Amino acid sequence: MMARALSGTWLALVFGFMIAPLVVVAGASFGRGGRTAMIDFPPHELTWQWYLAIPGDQVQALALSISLALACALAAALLGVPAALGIVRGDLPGRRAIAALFRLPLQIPAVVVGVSFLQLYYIVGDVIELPLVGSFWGLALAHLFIALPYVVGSVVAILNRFNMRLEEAALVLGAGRWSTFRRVTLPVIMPGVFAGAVYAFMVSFSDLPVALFLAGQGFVTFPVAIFQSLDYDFSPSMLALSTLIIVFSFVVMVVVQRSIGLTNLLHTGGAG
Amino acid sequence: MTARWHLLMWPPLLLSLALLVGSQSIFLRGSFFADLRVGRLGSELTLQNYWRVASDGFYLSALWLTVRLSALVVVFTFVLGYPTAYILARMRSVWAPLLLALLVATSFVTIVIKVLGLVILFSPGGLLNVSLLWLGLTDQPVSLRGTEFGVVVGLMYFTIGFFVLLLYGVVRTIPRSLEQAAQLLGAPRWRVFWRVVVPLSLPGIITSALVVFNLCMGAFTSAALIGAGRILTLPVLIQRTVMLDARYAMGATLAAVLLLCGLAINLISILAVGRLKAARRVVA
Amino acid sequence: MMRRLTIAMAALGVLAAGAAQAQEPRFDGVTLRVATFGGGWDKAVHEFIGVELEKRGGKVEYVLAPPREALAQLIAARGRAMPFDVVEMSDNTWVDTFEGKFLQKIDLSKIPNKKDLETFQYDDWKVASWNTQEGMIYDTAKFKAAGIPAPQHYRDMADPRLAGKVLMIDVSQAGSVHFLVGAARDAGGSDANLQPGLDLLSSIKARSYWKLGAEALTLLETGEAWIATMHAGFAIQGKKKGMPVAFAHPVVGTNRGILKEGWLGIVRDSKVKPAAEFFINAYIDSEAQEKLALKRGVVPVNKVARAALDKDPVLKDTLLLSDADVRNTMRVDWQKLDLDYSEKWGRAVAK
Repeated sequence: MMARALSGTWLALVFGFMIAPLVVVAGASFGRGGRTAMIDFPPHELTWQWYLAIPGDQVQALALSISLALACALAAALLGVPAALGIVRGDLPGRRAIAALFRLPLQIPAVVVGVSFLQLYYIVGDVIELPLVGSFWGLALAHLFIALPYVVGSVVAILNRFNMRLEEAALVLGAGRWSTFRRVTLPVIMPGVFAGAVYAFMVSFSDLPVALFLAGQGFVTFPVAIFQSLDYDFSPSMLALSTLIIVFSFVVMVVVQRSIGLTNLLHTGGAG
Repeated sequence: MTARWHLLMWPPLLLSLALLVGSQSIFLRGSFFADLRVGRLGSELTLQNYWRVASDGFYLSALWLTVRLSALVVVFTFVLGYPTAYILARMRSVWAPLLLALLVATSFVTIVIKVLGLVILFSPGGLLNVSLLWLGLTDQPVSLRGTEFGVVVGLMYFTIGFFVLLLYGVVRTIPRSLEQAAQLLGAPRWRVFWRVVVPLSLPGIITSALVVFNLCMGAFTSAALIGAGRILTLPVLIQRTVMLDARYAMGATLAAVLLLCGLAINLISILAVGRLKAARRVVA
Repeated sequence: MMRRLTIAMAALGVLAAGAAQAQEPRFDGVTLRVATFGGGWDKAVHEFIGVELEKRGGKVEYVLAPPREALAQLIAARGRAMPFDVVEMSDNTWVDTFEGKFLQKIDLSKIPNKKDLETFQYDDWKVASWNTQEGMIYDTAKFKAAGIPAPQHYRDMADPRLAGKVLMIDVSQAGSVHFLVGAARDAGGSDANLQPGLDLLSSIKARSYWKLGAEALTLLETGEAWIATMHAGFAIQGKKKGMPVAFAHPVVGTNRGILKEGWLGIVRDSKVKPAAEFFINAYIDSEAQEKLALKRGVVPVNKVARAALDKDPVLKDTLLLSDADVRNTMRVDWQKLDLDYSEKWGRAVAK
């Protein structure tokens, strides 16, 4: 009973800490903002007006950011899972150093990623006809570069906890390799794939500095649109849009968790 | 069969290396030439940029600050995140996945917007400061902007979600039966936690801690916005050198120093963990 | 007789048509690529300026790259085809853009609207596009309550009663240089010798340094800051929303007020120079300048447009609008400026 109260208090503290600034953002998004200049919190008078005033081009930027982040998360998952399997199971000498190599892109400051990819794309463009500068795929590739470490890192973390006896058992019982992977391995590493892919999505979705360099004519990602507007053209509709993003991402997270059966499958995971 | 697993690794590794070497060699190459501004480089190879960085306390202290703040974020993320992940993973309630989703959803809001929320939260007349003053915990309104603590907090708004989500998965792979067995043998709960759960999730903790550390070493937006021009980490200085001064050679030098330093810390911690494990095995 | 008249009339008609054509150039099939700010600025520029080119058959594409990012793109493209034709520069990037040899000369005879500009607002390489007036926004209520007189010089922010209440601009913002030069000149330094300005920077007990306008105004509003180095456009924004703020144009020697200047340049190798020059000319047109100013809080470079802002009492009260006042403002001499300013700024703050 005491343990329960203790964990409850702990969760309240941590969640309070994490959510507090967003409560302000969400609260102010319903404020009229008339009396005060910028952020009306706690709101003096409730209104929906900022939700109706969300500018179309910010929605457009949001749509672009979502498709970019989806492409990035998908590619990172498709590349990151085999990479992690190879690192953990391959048992090559120096595999820890290889894992460190995969983490390296994380600590390159984004401005350096931006400038260096811009230069790289121009040089690649000298040799072959590839429209990378200022294109969706150019930006997606750069985002993949900084997002891949999350998937590799999280799948490695899960795989380290999982031994291969289950798989061997499945193979012995006559399951094919692919079906063993799909039925036994994948469900077990799913939490890692999920965590990695979600944050791969997040990295792309929230990136500001790289997109500033690599975005091209007439296409702008959401963080860039927000950042540039915050400089002069602030409107509480940005708070409204951010609030919608929290709600929407929460719903998506719950749905995805359910659909991949994250919470159920974990019980069986790697009884080692 | 084990022998062939490593084949899976090569395509992603080669792509990652191609992008890493391709982009960074073009940019970092500049660090070996004199800086002629506006992105122009001298024609002779030189180490003068590295010498300038190594002999200048301003850059060295920025490097130290970056390492220190990143380490602090790792520690705080672990201290706050690990018990949270554990509690959620062991919770027999429909709330657990919802709470987890909520935690992750908070990361979707860019720090650019969160900063506005933090400004209001920590305003001198705000609820937080008024209660802190009333409780006598502080004699001055507290602000996060422009403080090292603030930058650490700003980074944690991104790292905790990742850490908890991942460690939630790791803890759930540890069968509850192990804990129950230990408890049946009379070990108190905290001891079971400390001697059974933590060691079993250690590989996961280390991997995600390293991800968090590396990410903080390169983080710019949080340091720039919450650091508010006072907390000059290396990524902030690199940004200024490249963008404000268009001094690419100097920017490349600082980036190379940051990269090498980060790689060294990674390798050292891997070695240290290896030693630790070996020692444990001997004890066991 | 009749016949002669007809011929004369016809000739006149041809002449008139020719003259009209000379005044009304066509840009059919021409695409002009313009690097400009995002966040709604691009929309305003298109609405007031870009459409003029479109009316004449041309097309305008906007590359949303603020001056620093635009420069980085030019640097990356060095030796290749350039990514845009016209570039918007802040005054702190034009020197780099110029020194990097990314610009080509503008044929000033194609910019007739320059008649409404001061002579320091154009030369062979650049034409002014907008101004902001840099200075100090302060909370009049807080100043009154603390008995602090209205600030006049940048050095007034070093008042011990303001310790921890000053919100300084961040060096990454273009206006930081204007503060440094203003403070340096006011204390006997110069654009090349910024030391007195840097000394003031370290002696002011700044609360922090702002990067986002919205954030800075919020800090002023919550009372965390009492005074901030910002441009007058923000003071207008604040006043119109009912904040108790006033704006002080800093006194620098015999000058009063500081001008931050936006510039337009034509990128080297641009194949559509006539369209670029037409665009630049349309940019400084009095009507376009007035609309842009009202929408985006900048000060027109066109004197006719500037005079028209007089009608708004808040603008009249906050901005320096008369030609004489504008001529008496301080402007940074970028070719003499100590270009290591950002590193020195960092060191001064770290002290």
